[in-house]
Amino acid sequence: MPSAATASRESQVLEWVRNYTGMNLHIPVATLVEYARLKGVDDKALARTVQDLVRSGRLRRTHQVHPGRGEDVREDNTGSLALPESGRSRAPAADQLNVRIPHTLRHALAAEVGHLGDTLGSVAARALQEWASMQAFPGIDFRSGPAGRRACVTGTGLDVAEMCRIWLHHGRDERALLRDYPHLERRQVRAAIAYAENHPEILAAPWGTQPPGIPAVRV
Amino acid sequence: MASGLKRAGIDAVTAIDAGLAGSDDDALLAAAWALGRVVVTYNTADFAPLLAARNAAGALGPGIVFVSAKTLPPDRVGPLVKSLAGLAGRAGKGEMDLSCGVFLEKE
Repeated sequence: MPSAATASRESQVLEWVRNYTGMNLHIPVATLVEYARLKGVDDKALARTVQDLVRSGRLRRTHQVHPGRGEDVREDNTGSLALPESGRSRAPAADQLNVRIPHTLRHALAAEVGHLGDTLGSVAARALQEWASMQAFPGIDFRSGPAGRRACVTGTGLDVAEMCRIWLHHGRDERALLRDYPHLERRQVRAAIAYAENHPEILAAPWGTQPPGIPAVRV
Repeated sequence: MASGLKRAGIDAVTAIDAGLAGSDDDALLAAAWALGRVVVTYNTADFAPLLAARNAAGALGPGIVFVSAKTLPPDRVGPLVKSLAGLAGRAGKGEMDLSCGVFLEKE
């Protein structure tokens, strides 16, 4: 019989997986690890919980390898997890929405084809999605990069993921972070944390790792 | 970090001070290089492909320093500044070429 704490941890992990897999078929283990760290759950406790959930059939392992993820991801951080078919939330269906927009807005959207999306419709959908995120998370905006659009902390030059990693490296201590990075503000740190808690997948990208083909120097 | 580098005699600016806080990565890299500046980042995912594309096109610039989060984490600014200052010193003497990118680790 699992203890109350174990059962609570299992429910918590299942909820994270359910939230994430509501929009995706499976969750990379590395993302789940980052999410757990954000929530203050240590790696070992998470690993035990996941193992128990997999053993009891409440989670299943899917892909075992993530090509191109980077060679420094620890062995137990690779692969993905999903809920059993019966327990998986269905991805929400897309709705069609017909709207009349001013010519100027249409031109502005058309200028983003190839950047924000491949068609006028996908650009409009992406723009609306970002607008909704900015409403929900004040202090966050979006920027383009080779890996696609990503959330940034307005006015800092930092990605949300970068800010969160810096916060995690400081032991989740805002004061210590602000001492080391005096040009940042408390509200900016909090905006990043709030966004990342709802989008833990942003923490799965390689960060601070050696890029392929780039020589290491030790100084 | 930029102020620490300045104290160590290195001419450094943050993306904010350079007016590039809201810029896309490609624009930031282009602007930094146009100013003759090396970009220092932990962001492997976005800047490594940009550098590779520029290297492939033969468009070399002052360079990019990718910092190791494992050996030079962002919560240890002192060692990070020391390593960067040491690297800048060696690059300044022509002992090291940063134009194709380097991955900086703590000695």
